Amino acid sequence: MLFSSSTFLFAFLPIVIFIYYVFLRNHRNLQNIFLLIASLIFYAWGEVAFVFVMMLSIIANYFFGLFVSRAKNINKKKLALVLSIVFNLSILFVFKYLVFTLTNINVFFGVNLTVPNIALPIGISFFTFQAMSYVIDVYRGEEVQKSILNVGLYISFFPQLIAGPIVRYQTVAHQIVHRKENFDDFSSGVCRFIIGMGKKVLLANSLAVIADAAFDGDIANTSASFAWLGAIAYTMQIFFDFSGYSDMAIGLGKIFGFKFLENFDYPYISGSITEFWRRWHISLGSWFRDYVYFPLGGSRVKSKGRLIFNLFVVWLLTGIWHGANWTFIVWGLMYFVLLVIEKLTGMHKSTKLKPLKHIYTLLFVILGWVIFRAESLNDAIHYLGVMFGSNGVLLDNYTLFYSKENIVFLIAGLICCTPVIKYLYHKTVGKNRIVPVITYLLLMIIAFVSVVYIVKGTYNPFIYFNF
Amino acid sequence: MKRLKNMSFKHIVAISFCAFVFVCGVLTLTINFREVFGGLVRGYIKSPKNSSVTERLTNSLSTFDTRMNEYFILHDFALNSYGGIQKMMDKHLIDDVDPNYNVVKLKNDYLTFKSNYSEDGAGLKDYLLNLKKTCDNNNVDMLYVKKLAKGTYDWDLLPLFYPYRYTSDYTKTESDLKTAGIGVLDLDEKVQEQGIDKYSLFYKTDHHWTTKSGLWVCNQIADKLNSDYNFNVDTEKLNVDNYNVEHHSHSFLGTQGTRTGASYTEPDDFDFIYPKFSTNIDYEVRNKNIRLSGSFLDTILLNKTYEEGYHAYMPSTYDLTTIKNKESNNGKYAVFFVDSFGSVVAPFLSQTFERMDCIDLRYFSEDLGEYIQQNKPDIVIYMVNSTDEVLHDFVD
Repeated sequence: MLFSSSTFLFAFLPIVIFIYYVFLRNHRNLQNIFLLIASLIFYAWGEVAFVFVMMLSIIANYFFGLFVSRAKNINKKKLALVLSIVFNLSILFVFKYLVFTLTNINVFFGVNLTVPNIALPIGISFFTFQAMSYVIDVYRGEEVQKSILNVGLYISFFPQLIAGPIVRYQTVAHQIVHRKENFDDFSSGVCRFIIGMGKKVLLANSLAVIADAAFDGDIANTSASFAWLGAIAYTMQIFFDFSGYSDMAIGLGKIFGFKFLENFDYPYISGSITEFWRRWHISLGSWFRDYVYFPLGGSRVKSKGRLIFNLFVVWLLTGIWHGANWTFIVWGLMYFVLLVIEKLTGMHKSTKLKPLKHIYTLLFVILGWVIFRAESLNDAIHYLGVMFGSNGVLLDNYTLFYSKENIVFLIAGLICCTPVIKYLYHKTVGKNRIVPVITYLLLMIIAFVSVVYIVKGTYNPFIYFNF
Repeated sequence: MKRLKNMSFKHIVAISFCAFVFVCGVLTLTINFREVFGGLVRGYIKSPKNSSVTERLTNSLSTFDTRMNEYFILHDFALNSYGGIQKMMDKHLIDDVDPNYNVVKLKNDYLTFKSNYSEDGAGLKDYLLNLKKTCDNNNVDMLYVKKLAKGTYDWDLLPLFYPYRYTSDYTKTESDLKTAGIGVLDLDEKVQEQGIDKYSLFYKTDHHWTTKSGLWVCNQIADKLNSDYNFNVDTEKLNVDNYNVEHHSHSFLGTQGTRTGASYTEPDDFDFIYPKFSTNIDYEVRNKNIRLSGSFLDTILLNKTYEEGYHAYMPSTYDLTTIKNKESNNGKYAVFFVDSFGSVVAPFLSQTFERMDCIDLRYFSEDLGEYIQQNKPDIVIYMVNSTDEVLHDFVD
């Protein structure tokens, strides 16, 4: 089930809110059980068979958590932790990476291993990492959840189930039982949900039309300008899609009393790649930082070689996490190279030449997204070549037509990539009575237009299928 | 009162949004309960025969999702609002959830589906040559009618900067068919010969011909049959003056129009036409178990109204429609391969034949060779483009 669907907006969400707040008010255990059931229904709606994979993950990680917490010595604790990591990564490997691995073994070693046809459960990377986070946090001293239902709720809670943010157990452990819902948070949650819905349905989906026309079109006859337009459109599409979904997830969490951490902080205003990854998909970056980078030693290592190795591992895994394709691995390693350069030169800390630094950051981010979006490395190289004039055509009707047709969304997208609106709001809100009224009207217009687009049935690509 | 005073804008937004979502949800699920929840059952039952239980459940839920959209309580309002928004933004390419149904607004304000490839009828040629063999083996005449279509193949009507340049050129295919002895009626040529504005034959909001245009097509076919096949088709029965015309202004929103909303485009006028002359028909639709006898209005148009548009004449889900015309005097029997364009042609043309079998290849599952062999019509008329329909493997 998608948030941007009539079923979710007009059936699932109102029913869940109604039952949660009317019938189950003041019954925390029943509320949690109900949210768990609702989350399983939410996941099963699009993936009937794979809900059993999720339930297996819940049951297994619950018991791993118990083993880790009850283990009498550190070696048994470590063993239980290692077993849980192996179990979780095995599930991820089988569903997500087995086909890719076997295919590449066949290619590189000239063998003919049978490559099975395995469908990818949606959101498996997200809920697997959440499950691992639970066991690791218990290992690190967090109190174990005695209720399997609460573990189930943590892993499968529908707001962040299929597209994050990756909620760390330590950040929500207390909230599972002791959260306090109030109308203020509920209202903030609704407003946040509306903003996210607008980003996804209006901006991301509209910019997707340009991106898909460029990337899926006849690249041999594409002009440089259209290739750039497609790349920029995709840069904005993926931001609004992903951050829109995160906004909706954070908003939905707030509706039910949960406070999730922010996942995006205007990443495209960054002045370095280092800064970009502190603003982009923050939950993933911090997961890898806390569970991979720091245990390897992080930056506090004696040799530069070791530092580079640590960064290499993290960014290789980051690339792999995003999908089973060489494009994602190359994309991750691109950031590894840039981050190493920044770390060794200290350029990310420099305050000089800020405009140039912004341009450098954006340029590599956009080029990185081209690699990320391409179906293969070959396609990526071809597309990048076209962007820099390999087809010998600078401007064409594709650029003019798609720019003209989507000028509203292109301009809105450029503005919304920056904190301009947020800045203006905070500057004026206390000083002018009309500002809240305008904000209210804007939010209701966004909600209305988003609903119109959803009900009409407009182009609604789901870009998380790789995750 | 104090609570109301202390409300901030975000509280009002939350209440407004929740009230809207809740009320619309309740109304949709209650008023359209049968249609929406019926989707669960339908999706389960209509799954492919060897589907597993989980696959059936997935289909069931997917159908529910589709029905939630289709039967949403404010669906028409949402659609019209969407159209209004697209018009405000001066959009000429309206995206759809299925990119195959993206709509383009041409310079003359006609709507059309965006073409995604060039067509030349090459795929159709082999099929028709095989069909010809079967016809020859059974002494049956054959006529191929090249349909008239509007769309993004008319480059001079494309919106500013529209970059997609596809062509529709059946010249070579038609030449090959003629060489093979197949009669060809190219409606594009007829339009040009007669100095007709091609687009006047179409709705603005739909890709089909109007009802009066259907009569014009019938006349072209009749002229061809009379001149090249000596069929003695009574063209008076295809004269629009011999039809009652109920004109309904701005009443028809066609296939493209329903995807853009009435706010984006003006609904078309619709002419509901039926014969003035006496008619006496045996009418049978095989896959719908329809068997009727009587006049045109009591058979073909029984319980049909103008609100159904051209679908009133021959819905697109009929596999085999048999029209036996007891008023005909030429004793001719035609098998007419049609698609949705045939809905405003076959019913009228059938009034000039003793018998007409209208076959829609999308739903007809019998072996065509056997059908022709068993029934021995006087002529097979083929009026389907290769890119429109699924062509069965044609075995002689």
